[in-house]
Amino acid sequence: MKRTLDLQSNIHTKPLKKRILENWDLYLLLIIPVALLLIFSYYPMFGLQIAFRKFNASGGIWGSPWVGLDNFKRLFTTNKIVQVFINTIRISGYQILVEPIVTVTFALMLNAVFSSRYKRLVQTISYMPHFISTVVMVGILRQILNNRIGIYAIVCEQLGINAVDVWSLPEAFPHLFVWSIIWQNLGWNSIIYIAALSSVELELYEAAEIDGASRFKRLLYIDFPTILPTFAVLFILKVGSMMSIGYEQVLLMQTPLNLMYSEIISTYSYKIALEQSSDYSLGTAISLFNSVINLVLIYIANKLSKKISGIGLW
Amino acid sequence: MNNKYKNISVEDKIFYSVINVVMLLSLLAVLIPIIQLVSSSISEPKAVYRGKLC
Repeated sequence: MKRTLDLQSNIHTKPLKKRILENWDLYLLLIIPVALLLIFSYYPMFGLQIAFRKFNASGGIWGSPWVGLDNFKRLFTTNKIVQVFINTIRISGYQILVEPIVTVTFALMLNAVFSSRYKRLVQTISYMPHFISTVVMVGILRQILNNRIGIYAIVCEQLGINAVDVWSLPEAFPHLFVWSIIWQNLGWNSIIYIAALSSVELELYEAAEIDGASRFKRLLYIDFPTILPTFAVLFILKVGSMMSIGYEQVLLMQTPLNLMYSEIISTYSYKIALEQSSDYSLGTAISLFNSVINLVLIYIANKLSKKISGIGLW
Repeated sequence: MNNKYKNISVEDKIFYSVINVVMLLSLLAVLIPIIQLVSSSISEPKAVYRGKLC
């Protein structure tokens, strides 16, 4: 405790060298995460230069000729690129709007469950899909939504509705993708909110109860404001990765019929770089452009959040 | 728990009932696909579609 207080009082009052010597054991612990960050996050960034070169495997990264912004010019003159951007924004925007709302609602409702045994049961079972691999998850989805033999077909038959093949409907893709992600990560993502809710002081509940507040009112005026800062931080982080939707699941869910809605930046750069033409330079240019947009978005989201709620990442 | 539950207001009872129903639905939404996955792993998937295990 004293050490913590000492550290807090020492911040920016002593030179860095002196602080390192005084707290060498803490700085020693930092070596491993910093090394990991440098090796796996910063060192690979040398490869980004192939976005400005015409990469050939025989010459390697350093031996390939510089082409300036040619790859970016090619990127913006590709016919498909506008559609790909629209698809990416549509899917990620949908996910950013719906997923946090559903997760927060689930966490609030779970926290309000009366029986602690039932609460634990729901909590444990809701974590399970998180541990299923993406391939298996898409397999389950294909089985369930099969319009001839899946659960979906059985339900439609019982209701007397004609079961439409949802995999052949391009406009159904964003819904399938977003809701399958919500299904898989709902329980897992709610952990952080449940942890935040556990920090609510019991005195607040007791005072509200004495004042005659119902459980719903307590949820609305005590629980919800408690998780708001956590929500804001997670929302900023989510906006920062808006353009980076994981390509594995989209690739697995893609069919020639839904490509019009399912081709996103990550799948497109994957196909350009590794499948169709092995054009590594164009693939890297697409990814670099994507990362720049993400950086701008996270900056804007942080600014907005700071302005609206006073909560920001930096 | 029963005594505690008896002492709460009607409004809260309705609230808890709604919560319990929603949680039950979310429980089923998670469990049904997982049960189908496990059944398909240990049995013939086509039989699982017909609601059987073999």
